[in-house]
Amino acid sequence: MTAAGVAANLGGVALMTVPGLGLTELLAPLRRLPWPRRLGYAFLLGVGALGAALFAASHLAGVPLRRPVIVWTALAPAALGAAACVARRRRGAADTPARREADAGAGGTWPQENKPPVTAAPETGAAATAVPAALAPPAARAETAPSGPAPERPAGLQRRAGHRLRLALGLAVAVALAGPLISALTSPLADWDGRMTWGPLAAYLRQEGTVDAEVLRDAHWLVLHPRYPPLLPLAQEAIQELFGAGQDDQYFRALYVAFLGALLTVVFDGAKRAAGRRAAELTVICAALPPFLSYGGGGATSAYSDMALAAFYGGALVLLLAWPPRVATGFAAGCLLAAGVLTKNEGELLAAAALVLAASRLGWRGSRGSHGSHGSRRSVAAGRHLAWLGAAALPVLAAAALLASWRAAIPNREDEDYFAGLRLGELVHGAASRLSSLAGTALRLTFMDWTWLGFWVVYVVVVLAGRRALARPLAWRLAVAGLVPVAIGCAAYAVSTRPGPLIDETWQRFLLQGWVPFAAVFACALASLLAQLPGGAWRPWRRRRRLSP
Amino acid sequence: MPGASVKRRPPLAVIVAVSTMAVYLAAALSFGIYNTVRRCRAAVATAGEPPAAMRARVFGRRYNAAVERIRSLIPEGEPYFLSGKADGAIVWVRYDLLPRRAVRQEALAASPGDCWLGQIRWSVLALGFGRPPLLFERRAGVPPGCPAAPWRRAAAGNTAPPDGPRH
Repeated sequence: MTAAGVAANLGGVALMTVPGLGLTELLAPLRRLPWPRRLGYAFLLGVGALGAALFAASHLAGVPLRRPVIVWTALAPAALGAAACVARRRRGAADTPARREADAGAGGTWPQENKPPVTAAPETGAAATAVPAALAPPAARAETAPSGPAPERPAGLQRRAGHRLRLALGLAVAVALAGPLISALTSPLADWDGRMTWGPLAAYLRQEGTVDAEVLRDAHWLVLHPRYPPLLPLAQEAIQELFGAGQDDQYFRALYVAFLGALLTVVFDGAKRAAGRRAAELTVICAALPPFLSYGGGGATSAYSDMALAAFYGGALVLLLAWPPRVATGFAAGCLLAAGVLTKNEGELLAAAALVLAASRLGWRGSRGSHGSHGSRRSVAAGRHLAWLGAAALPVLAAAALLASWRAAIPNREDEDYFAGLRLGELVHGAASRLSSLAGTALRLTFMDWTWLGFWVVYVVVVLAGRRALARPLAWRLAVAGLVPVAIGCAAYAVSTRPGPLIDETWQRFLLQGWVPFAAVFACALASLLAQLPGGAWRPWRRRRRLSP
Repeated sequence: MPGASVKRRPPLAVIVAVSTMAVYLAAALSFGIYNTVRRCRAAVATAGEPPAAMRARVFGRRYNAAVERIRSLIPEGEPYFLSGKADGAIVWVRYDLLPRRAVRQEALAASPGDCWLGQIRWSVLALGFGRPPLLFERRAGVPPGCPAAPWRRAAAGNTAPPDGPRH
């Protein structure tokens, strides 16, 4: 690729990140994140906001998808964020460490449900923090740490181990991102769905300058899956149009690699909140390296939409399940879920599942606080929690309505339309008759396929060995969230007319869609294992039991 | 004895899990570094390559030459019939001919009286992956009682929109 092509590709990533940075500036909890994680969320929010804004402007107001509109749509949130930043600095309202701690879930606001359990040490029976108590945030740590004299802190050992781990993390992430980026920049698009569905849709939208393209609305034309949600094609179109791409230029390729980077930052955020820094760093190293993520059909080199959906869904889950419930985080999660709705058909089901899981969190908190609390305080808290959930649900509903309105004028063709065939009777019959025979294929694709390089074997071994950590509500909710895409896939296999080929084509992508919650569960189990290792190098402090005199 | 410490041996499950993870990390990191280095070397060797040359390198010179020839003959605003020996080949060729609109060849047999389909003058046959697609020119005209299709009007330099039904 030429230097101009490389620059345009990187410019495309910046086009998505800049409006996202403006949005994170407006949402205080995201603004206070460390820069790598903030950039990850900013990229995801930027893709969602820019794509959804262009979609709505084109469909509802007939605005042409041309360069000036793209530039202004990208600059508006960035300018709002910059203005908010300037205003805040003038007020002198800096982000204090206390605020950062509060957003991190510490400082007394860490949800009770996220606390790691206190279990008995297997050999001595004495109270010990077997699972990530040592790795939990400070508030939880203070409550679960043993009483008595302050524990010994081998600071040098800790620092060295942490330093080595961060080096390994940097290497793994660099390897995971550099390979697909180079591959994407030096080879033409050569994957199935990118050439069949998403790329053509982007080209048609660009040629006609509208999401309501005639080629979609006229059933004459050969368009495969014309009703598939157009967020990623819109993002492609915006980049191609802004940088004046020619017929052969593919300036959108780095966009998909950036999704892998965002996915890994979301994995880190979720794992850190669920299990602590060390377990999170190790989890990201493990989760970054399967070749499927970099080079597989659905990985960063391709133009499939599954990695984007995984990042949107995972980011929303982390914000909804692992962050303290606030309106700003709820709204950010809702924007990510809305982006998921506009990314793939499964997005609607995943958004519904995420909202149900978030609501279950409220139910748990409500039942816990129902004893001995004042009624007025309870109602205030309930109102705040409902506002949080409402802030998450509203963008999802708006996105679903926009998508339905857009689809209404498009005759469906060249599409399996699983939703139309999804009757309960057929589903049950298909599940009973097919899934047992398909299980073998699923197991082969999960555990034997070289593109995972044995990741799922490690996953199962670690999760089984650290299964005690999964008793926490956060962990089991994340486990359920990870299984939702797999369940959607199984439902599709049950009603599909070609289940055999379909499972070969899609099973691994369903696993990818649940990547963030799966990784967070892995981190919880891993933290439990690390706490049982001798030497204390993996713990924040080393405790040696002194014999009584 | 005061000050002595008890070192607990971790359970077998922990040892197995950590060992499995260590093996995986060693293999995955080596594989990842190898893959990245291989791609870096390829990138250095092909630095500055234009997109058409990239496509020729990956999909073959003959395939690329055929695509370029078809592109030069079919204007961007004009549709074409597409047929192939396998759906995969159709998908591949259609992508390289974007943003031209494709119509399945079978559509013409399904609705022979269609106003638009009768006015499409190009037909592309996709033979398979890496094999150059073939282009055929059809005898196409405006069917009786039908308006001229937009691409014919554009070709004739007449941009006035017609009245009446399209199909």
